[in-house]
Amino acid sequence: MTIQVSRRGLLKGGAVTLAGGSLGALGFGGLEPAMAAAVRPFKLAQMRETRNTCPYCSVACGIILYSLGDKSKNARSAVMHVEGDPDHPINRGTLCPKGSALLDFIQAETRTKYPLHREAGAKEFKRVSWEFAFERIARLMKEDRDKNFVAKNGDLTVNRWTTMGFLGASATSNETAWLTYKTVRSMGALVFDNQARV
Amino acid sequence: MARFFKRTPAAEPAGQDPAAQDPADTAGKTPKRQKLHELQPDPDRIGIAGSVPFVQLPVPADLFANRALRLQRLAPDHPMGGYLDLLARIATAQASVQAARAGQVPQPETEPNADRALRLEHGMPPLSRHSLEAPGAFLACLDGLLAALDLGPAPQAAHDAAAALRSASPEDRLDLGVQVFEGAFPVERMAECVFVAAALQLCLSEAAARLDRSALKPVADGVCPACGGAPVASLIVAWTPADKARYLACSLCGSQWNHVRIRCTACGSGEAITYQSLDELSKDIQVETCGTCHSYIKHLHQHRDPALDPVADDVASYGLDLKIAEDGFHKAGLNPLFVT
Repeated sequence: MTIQVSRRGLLKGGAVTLAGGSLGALGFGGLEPAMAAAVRPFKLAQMRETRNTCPYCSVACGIILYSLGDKSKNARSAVMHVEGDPDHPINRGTLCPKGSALLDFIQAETRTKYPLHREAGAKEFKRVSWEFAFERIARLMKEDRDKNFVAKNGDLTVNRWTTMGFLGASATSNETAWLTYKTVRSMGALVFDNQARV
Repeated sequence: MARFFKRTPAAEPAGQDPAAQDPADTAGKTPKRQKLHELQPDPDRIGIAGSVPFVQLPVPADLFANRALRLQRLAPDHPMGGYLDLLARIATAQASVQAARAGQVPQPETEPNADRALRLEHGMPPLSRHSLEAPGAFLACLDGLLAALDLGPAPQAAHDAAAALRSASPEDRLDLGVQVFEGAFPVERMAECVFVAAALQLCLSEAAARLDRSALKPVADGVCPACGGAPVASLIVAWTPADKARYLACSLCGSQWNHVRIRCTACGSGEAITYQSLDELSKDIQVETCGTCHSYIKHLHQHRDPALDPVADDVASYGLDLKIAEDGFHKAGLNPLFVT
């Protein structure tokens, strides 16, 4: 009887357990229970590595986020380390000082997690709903556009709106960058950087 | 302070690095400090390259000797000490046979280069069973290994297996060698397979070391681009042009080839990869488990502990295999010296 353990067997991930294996065949059958007993008191620690893109600048370096805990077991996962992605063609595992300090960015107490609003004259930021935030941004943009939109420069149609600026993020995909461009440019806005320039 | 940064032309010719002198020379004396004006800009040494080398071919002269040292260091006070000691003896024999063969006049390649080129052209690994069948290849390695092997206090079963192999006919030995090469282990001859695999490693690492590494191309996920063997473990390496990149170590020829991190070595999925370890024993030895195909492979952090050897530490961390098997994962790596 022969058992195929490599190639096709491995690709299926179904390597068959051979009776006894090398240990038993060479007369070391007693070692397996000894090894099992030695590790019995220990628990497996789980870690995940997740690819992401550094959000700082338009170089968009690849990063690996190391987190403890496993989603499937309802454990609370927490990022505990950030490193450059050695497989990423742009940065080959390196990061600038800002990128190296991303862990503090993730765990910062002052990190913005929801829309905040400070009314004119008020001292404190107040938490508001997304609906409120969108509504307010849209209203301010509309008012500003109605007031400052330049449709004509003499006889020439220009349709430009230069009093509002828009900043995109570096970690966006091509599709997001395309969508951002179309949305912002269609309003006539010229002051625009979606960080897709490299 | 301005003077501190001023550079005068270097008096010494470039290439002589005062910091690189033997530390033994400077011991006891005041260590010579490198002067600022002696520093030469050398952007090539920053270590960033456009891409990492795809394959690192084995260096047989170091491979077996280092593995023997690692096994000898692991064996004492280890629950698997007896088996590690046996493997240390095998690795020592491998190292001595390798040294003896390297000292000989190099034998001409008996296999036509055209055959290898044809295999490469069609996306197959250049080394095949024909590399084993050549005269002076596998059978000579096995003969040398069995002659050099000192089994010492190993159990009777190991002595019997070596004796059985010594008395076997050359055709039978070659047949067994080809079977192990192709990953088909005859269950009733498992013990002999360990010695056969050790001879295969000798023969194939020698052949792989002579390959042109620039000609090698990816064959498939989890298949060695030099000999078509299965990986024994995954290594995070610390070589200068490939710092922290992941390489898979071939179980047979000892070549290492690049495989993107956080991607299953058996099915290529990157969806549900987790890393698990027994932190109380070692944080440098993990298993990479794939939730898609439910396989795992040992994941050794060689950049944290350069002494880690894929074959030796795969055996020494067998406790991790036992633990992860309880969660229903199958091993995606193959260690022919320790088939479980």
